[in-house]
Amino acid sequence: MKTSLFSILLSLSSSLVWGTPVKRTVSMAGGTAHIPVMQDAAKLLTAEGIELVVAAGGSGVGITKVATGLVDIGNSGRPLTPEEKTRYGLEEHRFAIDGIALIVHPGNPLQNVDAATAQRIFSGIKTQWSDFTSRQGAIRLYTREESSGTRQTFKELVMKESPFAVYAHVVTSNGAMKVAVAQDLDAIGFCSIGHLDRSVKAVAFSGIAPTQSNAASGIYPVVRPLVMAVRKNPSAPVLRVLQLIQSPAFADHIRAYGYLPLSAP
Amino acid sequence: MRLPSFGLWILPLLGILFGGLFISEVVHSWAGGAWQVTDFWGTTWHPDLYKWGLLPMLLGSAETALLAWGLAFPWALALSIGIAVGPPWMKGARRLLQGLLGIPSLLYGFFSVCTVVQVLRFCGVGSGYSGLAVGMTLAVLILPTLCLGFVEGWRQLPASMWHTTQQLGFTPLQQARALLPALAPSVQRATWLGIGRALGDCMVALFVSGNIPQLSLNPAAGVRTLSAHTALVAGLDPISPGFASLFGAAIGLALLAWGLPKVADYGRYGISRIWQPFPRIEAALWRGLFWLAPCGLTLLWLTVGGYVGAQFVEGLRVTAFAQWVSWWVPFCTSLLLALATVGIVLPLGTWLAVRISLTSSWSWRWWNETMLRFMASIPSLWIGIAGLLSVIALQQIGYTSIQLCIGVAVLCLSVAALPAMVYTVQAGLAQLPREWQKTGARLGYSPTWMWWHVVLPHLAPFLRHGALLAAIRALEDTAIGLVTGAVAFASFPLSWHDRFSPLSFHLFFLADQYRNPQERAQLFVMGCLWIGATWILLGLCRSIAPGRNLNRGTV
Repeated sequence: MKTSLFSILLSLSSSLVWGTPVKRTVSMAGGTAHIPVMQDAAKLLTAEGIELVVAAGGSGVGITKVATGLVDIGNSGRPLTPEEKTRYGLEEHRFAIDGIALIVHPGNPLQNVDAATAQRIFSGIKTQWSDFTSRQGAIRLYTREESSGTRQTFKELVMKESPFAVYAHVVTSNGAMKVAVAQDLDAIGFCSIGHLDRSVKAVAFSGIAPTQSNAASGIYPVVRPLVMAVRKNPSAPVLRVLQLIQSPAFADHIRAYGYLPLSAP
Repeated sequence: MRLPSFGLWILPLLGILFGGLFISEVVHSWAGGAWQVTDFWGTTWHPDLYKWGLLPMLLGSAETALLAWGLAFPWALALSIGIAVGPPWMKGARRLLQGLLGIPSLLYGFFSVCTVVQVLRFCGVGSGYSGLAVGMTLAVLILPTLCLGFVEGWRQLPASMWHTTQQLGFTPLQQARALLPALAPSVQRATWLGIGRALGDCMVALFVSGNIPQLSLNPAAGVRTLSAHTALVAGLDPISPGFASLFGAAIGLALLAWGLPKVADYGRYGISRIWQPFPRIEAALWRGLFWLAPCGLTLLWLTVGGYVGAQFVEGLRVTAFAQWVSWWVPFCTSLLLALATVGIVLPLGTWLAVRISLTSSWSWRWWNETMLRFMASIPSLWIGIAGLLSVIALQQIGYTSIQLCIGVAVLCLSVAALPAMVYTVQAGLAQLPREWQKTGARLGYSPTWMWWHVVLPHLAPFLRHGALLAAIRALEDTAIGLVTGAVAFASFPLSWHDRFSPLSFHLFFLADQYRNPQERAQLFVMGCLWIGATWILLGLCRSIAPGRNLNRGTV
């Protein structure tokens, strides 16, 4: 008797869920940086009868999930590798770019770093601040984890073939990077331009200030794309989601979170 | 020969499933490249060159877990004695500990970055991100697990023991010292659980260790632990060499889970032997700890409470009413996750513990104990990944309707919480005569009657404690939810196959992506909501099984 009552309750609750008016569901997972932008898109799409389900997990998890069919869209903070495209049959849709700035403590006298010096600092060849500033003391390096799109872009555009120094601290988000650098006078790290605030000082890169306008105009060189990955021949609701996020009408939503929309005029 | 009953197969089966997964992936990775064992267990982390250097991470995990246990053990023991035999005001420490139990490890990590790391840097300990910072934070994290385990042990000592020592004219502290050997089963179980928790925790190590893969035995240097490494490489391309290191990390954790509690056991006996020739020093140490432990706990609460409180007030100021309303569903979803996990773990864990205690086969008992330790130390992220892989596998063999949902999350959380439940019930069973079934039969009572009228009433406080640990484990876990289908927005789940949006998702998102101090303050408001959920669960546990008098036979 109890079992049957439980079954009835369960099926009733299920029918309540499946009986909701929103029928077309598009699921996405992956990079945490995408989430606020996608939440805005989800609100707009609800009016069109599309339910956009947004999950996190990181870029790698997003790509794995879309490759295995667990979600319709995989969000990534880095471009897909050629292997990922061919092995999983994925297409890449870029919708925004995000600049990456070198940051130090506000009390640090460093104002500008050229590409070669940045490379030497992060590969551990230059270890003392006195080598290129008036400050004394050892440099403390802060980088991001291997799977981070920010790190991969920085490695590709700044480090080139040099590896990061083994003794560099590894932090796992833009927020953690800011906390670490803001509290350590000897620190140097890098984070998304969209996350910059007064707690840290952004250093000019080869004489160019890390600002959104410089990144948008192409003068500032250290930028990464924000990507949505889908399998080939996506369904109509998935296409609608891609279309909305890449449309000029959605550009302001992307800009509100510190990223630079590729669809902007 | 009679085959062992079905229950005994469950833990080895789970262990073989996890172990098989790890080993198959390692062999798979091995077959595709030309590298040696030394590349796995060397000292250089350079995955692109197939140099996986997991040895520094293995030592890092061992160092931080032992440091945490070493710092927390005397503190927890002294506190438990204070709660058991101390003046009435010391009993308040139990409530404070239960409050600490409910703070998610992510908040501990975040709090530690803002305080412990700063203090260590101020004291000249490098950047402050170090094994020492991890050990200190993990010590606070495992303190409630250890201490509440000890307290349950004190509660269950036979009243005759207390009476005897009282009649001999012992002071309460001398009573506790004399009865300490009888606490051994609870000490052992709580130690296994505490070390497993310290080994498997990702968030604290991720936040405060510096994550530097370097070989150093200096606790002031940055380290990388195996569990933090798991979280760092889980986001890599699954076919990359870096991702393959994840499986080596799991094997390393299994080795540590098996070996470290033994070291801890020997350490405990060693310490008692060292102090035996110096009774006055020992007595002074006991007395000092007895008074210092509650003071330390109060100080800790004032620091944590003061910092979180200040952030909370700021968070309240900047949090709009609509945002509060939007957190209501995640709050209820987290409670549902915890209750559903307890619903699975409470009967399963009790049954398993009873089956293990009743078996006469030494080998089966060894297998189950080993698997329990292994499972207690698996990072929850790994359990989530196993859930994810299972769903993918089921889809690939044709069950396409199976998706990531709250049901998968609850099953994974149950695996994570099962060891706590089994350990707690085992500690209770250890205090029952092993022949309770035979004795009952000789007296003419059926095993069912014995179970309902003798064993279950005896186990009630342990079941309550185990259920609480399981619920808190489910409530505070972030990694499993993130991997098994937690989404940013979802209505309250009404069926097993629904998507869900727990508090942990929002907390992780804020900790990861906050852009200004206001958003950081909101993180603490959410953390306080989380603690509120814990208190609700505590209240529920109390109403299910009312507690007994702690001071049976004591002064």
